Amino acid sequence: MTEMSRRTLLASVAATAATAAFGTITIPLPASAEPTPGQDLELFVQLSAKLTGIDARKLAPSIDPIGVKSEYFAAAKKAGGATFDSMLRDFKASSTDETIANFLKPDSDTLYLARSIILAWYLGAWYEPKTLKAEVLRAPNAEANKPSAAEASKPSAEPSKPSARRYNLVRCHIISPATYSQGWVWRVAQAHPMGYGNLEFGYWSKEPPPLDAFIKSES
Amino acid sequence: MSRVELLAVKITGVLGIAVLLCCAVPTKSKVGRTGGDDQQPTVGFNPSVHCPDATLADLDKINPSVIPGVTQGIGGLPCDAQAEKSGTDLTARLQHGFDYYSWLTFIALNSPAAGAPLGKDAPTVWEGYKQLPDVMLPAGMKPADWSDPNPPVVPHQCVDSFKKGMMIIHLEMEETYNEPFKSGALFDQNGNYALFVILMNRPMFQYIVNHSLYSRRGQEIFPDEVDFPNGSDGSHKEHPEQTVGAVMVKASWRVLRPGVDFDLNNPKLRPKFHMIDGLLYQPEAPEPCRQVKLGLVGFHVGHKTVTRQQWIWTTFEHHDNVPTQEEVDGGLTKGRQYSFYNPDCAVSDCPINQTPPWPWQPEKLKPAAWDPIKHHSSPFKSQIVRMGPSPVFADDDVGKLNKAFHNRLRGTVWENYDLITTQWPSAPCANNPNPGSLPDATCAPFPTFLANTTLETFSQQDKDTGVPLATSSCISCHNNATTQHRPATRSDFTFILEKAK
Amino acid sequence: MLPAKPQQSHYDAIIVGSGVAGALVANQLGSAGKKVLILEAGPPAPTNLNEYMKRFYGAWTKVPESPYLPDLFADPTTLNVGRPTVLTLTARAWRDPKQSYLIQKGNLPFGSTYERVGGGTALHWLGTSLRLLPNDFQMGRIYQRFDNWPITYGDLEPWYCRAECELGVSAFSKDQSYHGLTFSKEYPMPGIPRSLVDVAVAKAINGMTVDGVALGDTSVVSTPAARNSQPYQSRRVCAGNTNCIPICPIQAKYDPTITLNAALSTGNVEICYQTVASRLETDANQQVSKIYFRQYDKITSAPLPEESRTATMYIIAANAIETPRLLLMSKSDRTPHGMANSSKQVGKNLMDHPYYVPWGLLPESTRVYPYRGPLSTSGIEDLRDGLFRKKRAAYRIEIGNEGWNFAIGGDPAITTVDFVNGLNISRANKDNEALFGAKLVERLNSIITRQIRLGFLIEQEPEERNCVDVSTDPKSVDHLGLPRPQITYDLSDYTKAGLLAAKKAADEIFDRLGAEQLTREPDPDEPAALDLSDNGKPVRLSYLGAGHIIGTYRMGTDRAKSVVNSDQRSWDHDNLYLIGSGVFPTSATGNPTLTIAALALRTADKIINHDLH
Repeated sequence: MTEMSRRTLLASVAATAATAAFGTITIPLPASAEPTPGQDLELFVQLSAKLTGIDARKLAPSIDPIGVKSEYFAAAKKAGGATFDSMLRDFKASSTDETIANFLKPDSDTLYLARSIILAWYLGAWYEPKTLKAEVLRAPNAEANKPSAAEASKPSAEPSKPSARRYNLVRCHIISPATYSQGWVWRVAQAHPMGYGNLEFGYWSKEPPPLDAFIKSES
Repeated sequence: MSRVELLAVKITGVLGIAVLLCCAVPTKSKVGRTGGDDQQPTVGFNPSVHCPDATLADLDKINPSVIPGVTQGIGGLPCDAQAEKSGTDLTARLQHGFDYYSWLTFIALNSPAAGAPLGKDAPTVWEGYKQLPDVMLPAGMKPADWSDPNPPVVPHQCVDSFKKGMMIIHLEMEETYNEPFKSGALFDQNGNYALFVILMNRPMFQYIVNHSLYSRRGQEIFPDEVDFPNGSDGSHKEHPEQTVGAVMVKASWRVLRPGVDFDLNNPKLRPKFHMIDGLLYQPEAPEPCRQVKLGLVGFHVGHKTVTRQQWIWTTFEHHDNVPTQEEVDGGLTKGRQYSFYNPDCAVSDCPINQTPPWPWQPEKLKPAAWDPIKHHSSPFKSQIVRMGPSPVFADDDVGKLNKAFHNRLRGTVWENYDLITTQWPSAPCANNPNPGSLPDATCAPFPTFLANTTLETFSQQDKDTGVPLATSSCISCHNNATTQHRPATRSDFTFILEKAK
Repeated sequence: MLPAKPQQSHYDAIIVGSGVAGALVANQLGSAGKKVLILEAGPPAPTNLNEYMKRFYGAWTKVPESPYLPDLFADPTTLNVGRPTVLTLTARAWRDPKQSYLIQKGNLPFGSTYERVGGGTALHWLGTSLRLLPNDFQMGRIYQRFDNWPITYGDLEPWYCRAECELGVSAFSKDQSYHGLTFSKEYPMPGIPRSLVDVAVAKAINGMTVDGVALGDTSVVSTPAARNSQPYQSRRVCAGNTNCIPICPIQAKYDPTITLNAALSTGNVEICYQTVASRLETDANQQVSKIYFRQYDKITSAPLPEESRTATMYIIAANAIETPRLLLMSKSDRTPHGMANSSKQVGKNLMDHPYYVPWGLLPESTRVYPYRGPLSTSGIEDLRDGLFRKKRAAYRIEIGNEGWNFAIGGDPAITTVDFVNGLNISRANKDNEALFGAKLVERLNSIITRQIRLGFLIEQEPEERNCVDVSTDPKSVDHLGLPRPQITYDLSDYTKAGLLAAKKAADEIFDRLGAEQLTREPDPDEPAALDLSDNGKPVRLSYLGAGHIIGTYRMGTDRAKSVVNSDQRSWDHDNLYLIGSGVFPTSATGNPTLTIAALALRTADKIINHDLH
């Protein structure tokens, strides 16, 4: 292991390689995906804020001890490659709501990558874009799965019944213990990740702080 | 850059945080936020003396008499930390500021109680603080008033062997030899325990006495939220007072054998540790009170301030405690002598960071009883390696800071102590006086994990990285501390209150 | 790493298993100066929680086993020490010996699992520490159903107090004095405060009647739990990390490693990990004379040669599947039906608490803010006893604080993926909307804060046909070459009637809550599914295992019909005790752990004052 100065330690705290957990796939950080300090990462954070609905400075505070942004950037870059680069470019050129809407158009080649990015921030887990796409295609209301008119007219046809799944969880892997502990869905629910809370005895008897306390930056 | 930037690090605008700390102690006692809790002894102290506009590079030029803690001794605390002039990374600059402040704290607290500048080994300011067992007395009795210094409560068996200035080490308390939550005992390479003591300063002690928190009964009827006095440097308009605030100390000691581990008459064996006279009190032992020489190996300070309601946590270790994993891997441990590591024992014979075989209690050790004086020691010697960030590398920020301060302390035992790092709450909510009302009461501690190898030996991180809640973190763990009130309430980041009887 | 070998050849007591029962007995015996050896099949509890927590955080499916070893999806034939896991209870896996550790031969799957590690299965228990009810001990006499226990509630009551101190249970006795429960001592710590979910349920059930039992808003009762509400045993107070199952990150919840460490601190207890007891032997006087074991280095490496040790007393505490397995592996000329088995009851009367878990979405006006606090803080105990027990099984209602996490197998991840990716796996996204930005925040906040689930634990009727045996299939062995447990399991009409009653009560509770019930009918190939009839109307529901393994070496007064006496001593072998929930003649409706602990302490007392005096 190379000598680590405190500065590189501070930066690398955020760039920790994904922890290998059994039953998961590790994403090692390829050298080319080393988070570029400054511009690209900040662009990614701003893009993520629009996608997730959470303030950019909550996703990535100025002082960021845990620094999950770099882990998500690396995962998105690895999975998205040129598509990811083009998303950043387009967003840099125009960071409007229309740009975001275009990313999420049903036929857009950025659709599933954008969704992976949202899920990374919300769940601390990486869902491969192709997994998300496959799930949509196998869903009962998907065009590909719709029964023919003849079939649908049969009394026994139940198009609304979900197809039998082995597990309800869609395949993913948790990027690291740190990203799990920083998942946004729990804060959106005014709660905390199961297994990671910094609260006090008896808090559960009281109403939680309002949603804004969780997702809006302090000025 | 303007002079303003070199003064107390005050980040206005986006963050509105002030890195602060307490500064000059006024000659008259001032009323703090909690009212009359933080009376200071009067010491000749000039409140208009500010820290020099020093950066790391300038440290060598500083006249030691100008650093208040060095000259003032009792009651003094360092003034505001300075961020480095250059460097673009905000977090690194703030971390440096806190680390600098930690060094000044170390100097101030370890300065001689008698008031001389830090230098030749002498009883320190913090050794005059009240020890936990002298505050949380049997049957919840009220502790004796504060005096300067505070003599310990002497057990009746020790009345003859006790001499003024000794620190009584209470081996009937499990906290003295077993790390928190019974996580493990630590044995040095002589087979002697590392011994742990917990102390509090006057404002913290006074708060406990004023609110009768020194007994379980007192805590049960205390209706408010515990809120220890805040330190303030007087630079905020809402907090114009200059006051120390609550400080708590946890120290770890090693037993040093005269003539073997040190010899005052032999320059080759001159002491490398800050040493005190200790009195081991072990009521069940054949000899309940035994005098020993103790050397300081680990030093924790927790300090509560107006803008850091999660407290500021710093830790120092003696240079010879343990190697880092890098040093072990790089073969750099050969020929060195560590307190808690044997470089000549292979990993297969001495697996690292393991708790000792049970039992750990002194009265249960084989041979029949632990006796460091008669050399009945534990056959087990802890083999400890530091897993987390290390102060060792000279070009690391902390490494440079350590080197600079060591240069100022050359020729004293104090040059053998390294700052590991400082943990501080980094989110804007850190100045919220009700952390319990926040979505996350810890307000983003930075760095995330911190362990002293002599005090959190067995909950260090694994080689790669820490694990949330499992790996030692001062703020995360202390956030769980409560009173004995029913229902349990927050105890303001200290486990001291749960020890009341 | 090679395990340590037992240092002595003979001990005062050898205990198989370091779970709650084994650890408690070891600690009592060690504190009384007795020399004890514990044989633990699995690896040691680690020095700190880093490894367990890292594995937990990184697990994509956070089942109870997720922090622990061995790997969830290994072929059990390749493991020296395998164990059942919840993910192998699917249609494709439950009967496949290459996936399921248990060889399941019955109509229905046995749904409960266990760990084989230092500290045992209670590493991942919820902490629920209920006492059994006075009538639970007397089902035969009062309801003419099943056998009476050979002890009464009064006999066990002082031991319940002792167990509550040992584990550190939080409750107020005044809240727990239903169904005739009496308390000679107050609980050691105050009760755990209730959650907002509890408050909503209490309001809803006020005025409801079930089988003649009237429910009020005081029917929602704080559940006694081995969870610190005060600093206790040098452990921290519960901070509501909402993770009791599978692991409390701050050890505010009791787990048996605490007692195990106390036992080791006596200086009289030795433990050998990675040490699997393989058989027991008797002498001509039907005294157990020897215990054989095999040790191993890695979970898949070749085991070391068999060794043996002797003791004055032998105590088997290996849970109600592994204990009968060991006894049945100990067949010999002197013990043709296996050890302790002249009654032929060893392995029989296997029980669980079939666990019915309905879930739903509360109306917009009722936010209960789940995922906060312990996984469960309250329950409804009123329906655990009553005249209806002559006709149908009783049940206990557990109120869940964790939304749909358990109910649908991994929320809020499932709901989040639904609303981001336009799916409807959770069935809360009927229009398959795909959202982002502020709309996503608002929708997820709305839905997740209204998630609710209940749990019904049904008493299961003891039946001889439900049993544990050792597999005779040469392919169904573990890597030590030992035959794996073979399970035959089904539910009786009495039990099914209880399940049906539970479902109907659930339906009414959800109605009163104004909730949209989303409990899903099981798939056609779901193995743990039942087709019931409610007065002619077909009802199809699925059940889960509650993690309670009960009944396979029952206690009784008649040596012809039971395996142990009321002290948990084997009728056949004077120096053999079999402890744990395997001794329960009936399952009752309370979670078994506190009763396991009370009986263990009572037995330890007997051993110290009588057998090893």
